[in-house]
Amino acid sequence: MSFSSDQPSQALRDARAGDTVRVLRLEGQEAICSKLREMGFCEQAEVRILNNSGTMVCSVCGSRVGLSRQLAGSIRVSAAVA
Amino acid sequence: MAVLSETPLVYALVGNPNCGKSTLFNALTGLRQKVGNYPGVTVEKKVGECYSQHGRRMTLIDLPGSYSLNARSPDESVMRDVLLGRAPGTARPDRVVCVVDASNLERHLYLVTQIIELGVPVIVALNMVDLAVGKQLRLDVHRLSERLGVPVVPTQASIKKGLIDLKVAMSRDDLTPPHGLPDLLPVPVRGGLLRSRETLSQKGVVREGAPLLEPLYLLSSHDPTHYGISDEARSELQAVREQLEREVPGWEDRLVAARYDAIGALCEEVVRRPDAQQLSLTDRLDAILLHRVWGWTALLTVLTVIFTLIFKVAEAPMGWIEAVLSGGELWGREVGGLAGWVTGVMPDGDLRSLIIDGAIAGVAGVLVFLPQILILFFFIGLLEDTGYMARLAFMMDRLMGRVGLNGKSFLPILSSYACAVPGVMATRTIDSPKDRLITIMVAPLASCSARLPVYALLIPLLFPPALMPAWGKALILLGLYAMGTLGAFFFAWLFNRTLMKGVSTPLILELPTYKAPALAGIMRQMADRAWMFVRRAGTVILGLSIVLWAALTYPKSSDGAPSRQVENSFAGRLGRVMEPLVRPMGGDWRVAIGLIGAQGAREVFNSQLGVIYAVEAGAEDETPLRDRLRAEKHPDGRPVYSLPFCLGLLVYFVFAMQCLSTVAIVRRETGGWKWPLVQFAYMTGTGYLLAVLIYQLGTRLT
Repeated sequence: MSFSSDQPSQALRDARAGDTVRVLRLEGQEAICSKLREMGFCEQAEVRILNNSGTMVCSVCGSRVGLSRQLAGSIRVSAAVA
Repeated sequence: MAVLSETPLVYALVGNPNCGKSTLFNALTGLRQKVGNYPGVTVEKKVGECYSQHGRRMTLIDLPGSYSLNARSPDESVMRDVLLGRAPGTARPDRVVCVVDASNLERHLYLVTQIIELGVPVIVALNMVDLAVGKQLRLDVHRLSERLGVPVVPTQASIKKGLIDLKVAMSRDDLTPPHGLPDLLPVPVRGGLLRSRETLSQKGVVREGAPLLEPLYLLSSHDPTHYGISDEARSELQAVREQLEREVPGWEDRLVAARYDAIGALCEEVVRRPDAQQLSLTDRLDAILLHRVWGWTALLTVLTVIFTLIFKVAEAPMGWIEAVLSGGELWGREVGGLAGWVTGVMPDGDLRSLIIDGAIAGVAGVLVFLPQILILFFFIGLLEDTGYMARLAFMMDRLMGRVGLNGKSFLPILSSYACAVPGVMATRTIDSPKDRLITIMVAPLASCSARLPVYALLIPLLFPPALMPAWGKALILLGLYAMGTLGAFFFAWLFNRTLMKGVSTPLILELPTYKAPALAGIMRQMADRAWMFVRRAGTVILGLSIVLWAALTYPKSSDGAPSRQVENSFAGRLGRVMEPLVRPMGGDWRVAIGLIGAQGAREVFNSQLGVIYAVEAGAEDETPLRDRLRAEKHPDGRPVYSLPFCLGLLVYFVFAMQCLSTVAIVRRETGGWKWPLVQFAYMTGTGYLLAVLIYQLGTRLT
């Protein structure tokens, strides 16, 4: 279940509101990554961006999760999926 | 067959935050509840009782809301320790009721999969079914129960729906540990865990037959502090973890993913969603409330309204409390209150003085803040219950991030404007130990309501009445609040840079669905929290008031002249000794006594000065305290309460740590004397230096 590294990726922070993206990998400290995974941001998880204007709100695992922008910068996601 | 045994069946009630767990707990146990603390950590321990269908006593432990057994905050470690039977003084629960939000199964089942592996019987309460219906979700309860291998009971705790079914399930004698879920552990990991359990149980770190993942939960990489684990046990656990990580690299992360995969597959099977994704009410509200313009407008409006109400609405009941205890005007009539009644029935003497000037005055000093605290707790409850509190924290995160705090520090600081004691207690939900400590350190800089009486006494002294319109006083008051707030931000920034290095946890926060508040629950929580405040603060301040009273009353001066009495008392002598310290900020020995008294609780300053000047003047003179202060002169004829002195004194009160209750609570929450002492030193030091600076500069300029 690994992704080829040449798949185009972006930071979650740069995704547009309304888009649905897929988590590719998490960067940064291990403790923070595992917290993110437990909140549903696992590799391959689908994330819908609800709000990305100043604040970052995503729908993941059916619930709304707010993230700091710093954190949203450490999540690499795919381009918008259909 | 019914088990006829006298020992109650112990149930633990667990669930994610915002799953309606506490509402369910209240609905099940009614008034048969006890609120206490877990030893060592100051996490509220709520235990209630109810009866099974067969009349057997059942004990329910309401555990703090948590997303995972991988504990990251003191709150979460309590849930872990109780479930694993590691919490001292709390029996390991026989069974667990997992409360899940039916409208949000994917997230909530994560914890359920962890609990199911613990090997105790589990019941799932599928709560808030109304929200699922609102989202047009169709849940196959039967299938869910089959796949999880546990009873699943739909409930709606807010209107007590499904409670009977839940109690029937809880009363069953034939519940066995579940084994419905597929085994999520890879074979080599399971092997490793089995071997390590043997090693660890021989060394007494875990009990025999403990859940396989217990070592993981005790020492997860997620939790940098390892609350409640001894050092020896920690090194044993660390060795086990490193071994496993070598054998199967990345197994923990894969386990998380495997859980979500299993949950995803399960939800496919049991949840039918409406075809079209439509914008929910919460989405539409969030579009406004998290908007960069409207969101901030709403936030400022909400805070302004809350603050105005705290001070406006509380005014009248504060007057009543004052009147009933110490005497004053009550509904247009002058009453003597409890103090007046005691004066009437008791002969003059030390005992009467002790009761009136010591005990009643002391208790009144605390109780008078109760209305404000109740109103604050009511609004906090309201904000939490509707789901707006999470948004507030989220919005504030960027702002607070600049000074190294995070959004979760917002609630403790907000609470501290009423009283730092509940404020410091509210820091328990902050994950990062560093953020939590910084929040505890700066929260008492928020101007609490105990400072207000002192502000109210001193502000009018700044300028002659003719030069001071009402809005001018309000402006100065506002300035003092702003000074405290900016001070809190400044010191947070400073501590973040210097004293406390360590990682901040970037904010990640679930934003719950907005819902109508359950007023009964809010009221109940409000009463619980207020009672804890009264008990805690009440005992300290009562004790302190009596000590102060004694210090002012003894030793008796030989000639009995009131003015000598204060001067010759212990407090008076101490005031003389402390005078050199107070002189640079412009005060005399009387101010020193007032400040010594205020060291225990700020508002005592007023009553101290009142007592000193009243005793000195004798019983007949009834000049109001403020006029007396205005007329007070230094021996060389300069007024004591001059502009530079009053201004400096006000600033001193903004910054100085003068509250025994806060020192006590900080010691408990940080687990030692180090941080309360640091806090005392930096706050009081800052206040003193600023006061001296203002007085010295002020007297030179005027």
